[in-house]
Amino acid sequence: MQKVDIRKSSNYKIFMYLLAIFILSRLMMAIMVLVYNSIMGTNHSFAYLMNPWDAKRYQFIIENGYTYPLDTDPQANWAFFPLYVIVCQLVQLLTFWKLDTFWVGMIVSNICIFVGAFFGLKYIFNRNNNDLYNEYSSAQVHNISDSDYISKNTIIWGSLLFAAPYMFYCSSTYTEAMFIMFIALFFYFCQQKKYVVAGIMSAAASATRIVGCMLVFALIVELYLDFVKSKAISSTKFTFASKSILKSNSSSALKSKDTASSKLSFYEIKKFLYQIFTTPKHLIAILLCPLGTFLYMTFLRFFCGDVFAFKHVQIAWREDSYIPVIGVLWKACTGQIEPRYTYMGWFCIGVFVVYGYMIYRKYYSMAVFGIVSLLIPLTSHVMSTCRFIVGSYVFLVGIYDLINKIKNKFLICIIIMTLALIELYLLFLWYNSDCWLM
Amino acid sequence: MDKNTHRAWAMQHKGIIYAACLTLTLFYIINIWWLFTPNVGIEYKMYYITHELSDWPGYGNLSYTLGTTEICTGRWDKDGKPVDYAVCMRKGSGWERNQNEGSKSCDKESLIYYIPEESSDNGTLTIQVKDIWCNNNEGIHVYVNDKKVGTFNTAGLHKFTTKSYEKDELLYVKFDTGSNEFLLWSICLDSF
Repeated sequence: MQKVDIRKSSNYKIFMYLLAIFILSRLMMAIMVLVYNSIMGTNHSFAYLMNPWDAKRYQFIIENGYTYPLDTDPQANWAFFPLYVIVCQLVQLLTFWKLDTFWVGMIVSNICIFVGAFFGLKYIFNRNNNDLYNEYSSAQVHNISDSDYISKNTIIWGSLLFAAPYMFYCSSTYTEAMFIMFIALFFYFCQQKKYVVAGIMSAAASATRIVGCMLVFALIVELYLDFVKSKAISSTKFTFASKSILKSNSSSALKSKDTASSKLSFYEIKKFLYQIFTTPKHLIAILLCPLGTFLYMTFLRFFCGDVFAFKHVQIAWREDSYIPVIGVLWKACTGQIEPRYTYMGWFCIGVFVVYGYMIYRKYYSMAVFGIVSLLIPLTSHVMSTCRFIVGSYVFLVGIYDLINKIKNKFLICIIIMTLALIELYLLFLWYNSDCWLM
Repeated sequence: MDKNTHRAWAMQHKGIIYAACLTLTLFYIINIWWLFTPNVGIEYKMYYITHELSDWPGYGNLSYTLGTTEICTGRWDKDGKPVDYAVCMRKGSGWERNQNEGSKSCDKESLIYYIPEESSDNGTLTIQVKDIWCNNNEGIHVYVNDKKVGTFNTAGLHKFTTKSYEKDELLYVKFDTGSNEFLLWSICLDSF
């Protein structure tokens, strides 16, 4: 029997590179605890510093389940979605309830972000090697076994997922890491055309955070692109004249067909809808997307009588109301509310620009999901939008794409180091429970 | 597997997926139906859903024992310590958020809701006004369930006679302030 050397496989290389960056980033987090304690003259533990604010609420839910609001506190904990809590409870069960809840939460989050990073990178490699999307000619398509290519991309991607600004959330008892994992898996399975599995990933994401439901739009975009592409391929196949083009330059032929067929018309949409309804696997994939949220809604109906309790309870956090999106951004960006919100408002504007760039780079489904998932919090406030943006994952893909286009390796190193330094500063603020992160 | 068996299996497979789609659709429709028919208490509905209450009173705490004087501050004093008197956590719209010194009106109408534990044919409404800022001579009109019970334009203790109200039915006291403002310290509903 022929022996397979696992160390030569690209997956092994990706795994090991990511693991190295992951360990380094977590080591820096631990060192920052010592730095914080020595500067502030405190003696707090790693678990304590890593888990302020909502982490304490998750800790309570993991230990006690959902509870009714107290007479003195209307901030009911059913604002927090259940899947992360359930997984943490299962992990705690495996340790016979011996392991501290914060450590359970951190272990789950770290595993999730690692899985998310791994499949995210697999998606990127597959995409880079798909000449339908990239700008290289067939001869220039990357070889996945090329060590230099793997190391460059893994370092950029790993640094973004483990050490970019605001990524410390993915190491604490917050849902961000699990949410990122499900989104990464969703796009990975969409790329593999395993739409039902992608639908299940979306259902899991929607049981982790409400925004997960919005992956349904990304799935519809993916299905539409698939529909357009399959039409282009079939018409290319059956056109005699195109046959020679296909032989000589398949990518450019498909590209031109892709562009030509992607013109939206009522007839095209009708045909696309017909295809969805006559392909039960596509239909169930779409219907599966919001399942997690609806299951939670059913639970809430029997628990407190209100399926929309997670939405209604928001009044206990945010009382000020502005005109959705435009009004919120206007108030924030023009400095009419607190300075940290001015910063967050401009951060949102920058993120919309990145999403615009992603559309230009044909990350259609990701850009659609990113825009929709940012518009939702902007209907009420810019509060915590930085966390929501990095937690929606697709922004990181856009940033990766921007960095990856830089040819100068030294410049890439400078950018990565700068991002890591910003992350360390934000981590210090996080340990200090600084309001600029809220 | 021969061609016919394969086709039959594929059809069956398709049928199962369509059945699952139908089940999911029904499940979602039921949830949407529940969305429009919440099965919640009145405090929950008025605070979380319709936002008629500006304070969360707690489950069942909108009910009111006649004769209880409630102070219109928050549950905590300036230093963040809990207060030791009955607090009026039944205020509706038209009140400022900061209520350390009492509740200041901030709209043309300021509301307070009650669910009396007893019926009353005739009763009294007693309010203590800490301060008042009158921009016109009309003063502030007081209504109980849309029935006018009196007017005031000075600070101090004011007593009004109320009409009948039913047990366990939502009752509201409305202060029609117009362009005036006042600072309410305490309020009490009682029967003769």
